[in-house]
Amino acid sequence: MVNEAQARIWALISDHAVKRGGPISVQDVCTAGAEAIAVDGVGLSLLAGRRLEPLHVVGRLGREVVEAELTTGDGPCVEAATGDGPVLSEDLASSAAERRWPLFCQLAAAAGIRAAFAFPLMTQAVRVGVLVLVRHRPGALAAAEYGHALILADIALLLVLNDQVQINEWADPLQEPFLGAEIHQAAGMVSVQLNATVEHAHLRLRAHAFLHGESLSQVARQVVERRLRFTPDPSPHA
Amino acid sequence: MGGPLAPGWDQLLARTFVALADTLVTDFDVIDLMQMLSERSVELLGVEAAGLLLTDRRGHLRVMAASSEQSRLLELFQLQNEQGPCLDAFKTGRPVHCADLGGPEGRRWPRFAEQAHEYGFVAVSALPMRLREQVIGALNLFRAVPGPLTPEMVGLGQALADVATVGLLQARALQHANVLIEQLQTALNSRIVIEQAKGVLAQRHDLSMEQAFAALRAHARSHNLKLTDVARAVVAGEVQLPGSV
Repeated sequence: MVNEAQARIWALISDHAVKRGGPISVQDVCTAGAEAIAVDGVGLSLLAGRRLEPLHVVGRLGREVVEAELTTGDGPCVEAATGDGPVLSEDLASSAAERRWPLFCQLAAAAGIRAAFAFPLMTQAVRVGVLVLVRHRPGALAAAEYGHALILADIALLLVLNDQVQINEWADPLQEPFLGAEIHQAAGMVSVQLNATVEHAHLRLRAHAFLHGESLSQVARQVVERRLRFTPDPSPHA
Repeated sequence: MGGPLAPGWDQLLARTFVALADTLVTDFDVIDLMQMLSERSVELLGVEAAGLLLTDRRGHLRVMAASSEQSRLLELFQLQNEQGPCLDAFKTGRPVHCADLGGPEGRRWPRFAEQAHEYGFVAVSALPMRLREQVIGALNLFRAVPGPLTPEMVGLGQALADVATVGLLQARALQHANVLIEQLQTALNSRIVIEQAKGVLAQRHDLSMEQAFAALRAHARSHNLKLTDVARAVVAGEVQLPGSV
């Protein structure tokens, strides 16, 4: 049943939409989430097959956490996308977390992310995406914050599905800004450079990003701007 | 979000949001929800009457609720005469305000202005019910004194309409959630494969991303194929484009 917390979150979301001057959308959910739960970053990704596809981020840390998941292919979001429920890590610098997500934790540490809480967007046992909340400081979510996060994930799911109604019936989806577009463009380009599949190209892009301590988006941009080219030799040269 | 108009206003606002959001988790009756939206708009926004037009499943506008018989008749009047602020808000997806129906602004809808005047309404605002580009109806607010609604009240009215819209779309969506999820995956995958194909073409033919997209689209159109199918063929290396076309 709806309670006071739900009403407050709806009011926050509506308020953000009004301030922004647009109808309620997932970006208002992310912005309201950052405010309602006092986190330093929020990320919302959809699931495309088994891969996460970024949809919206709030704050530098929101962008960093999504990038880290994309680059390494592990982390709380990836786990929430395949697991049973929320994946909560109150200290990413703990040895338990580092054993669980060795690559992700390295990037999280470099970005200054100490805690990450990932909530699947689920309906009828089908997972559609993941909402992630991150903080500079370690520490668990308070019970009320956890409740808020569940409400936000439900609302995000609802909006994502409703946007879908709208995408199919009303609008040209290609006119929408697409957060991960350059990554896929770069994968297409690198697949030609390597004479390989786009999946292989995507892996090479991720490996390059990880090795050079850059985000996947930065690497993709270099490729799209033709400042970076890959060769079948495992070591790409700029 | 606007100052309280009267004691208990904040509580009423919170309860309204609760009730509107309640539609997200419980079975509800669309007409009841819309009736509540129109009645609460009157109480919360300090207007005389409210009326609401909503599209049915075939996309036809219908009068769904009204706070009074006069406002119900005025909504019907707009539909029958195909003119009025509610229709304009629905068509444009933007709010429509007229602070004085007897003045020059009212001449946009001469028959409507006359009819409204007969019922004692001299100012009107119409707020679209929309989610992104999708407009499913409009909320009309009628006033007995001339002058504009304050920006705070416009914002609050829009927030009420937005939450009700989400609730309604949710009700429509829940009935075919699985289909929607499948469509979402399809749409997402087609976005991805189109971007990949742009990259492939940009690299292979030394094109900008815009040129690559134009080549994809031109090929799809001239061969009467879906853009996604062309993109998939390009990524799979089955089609070269553009020189080979």
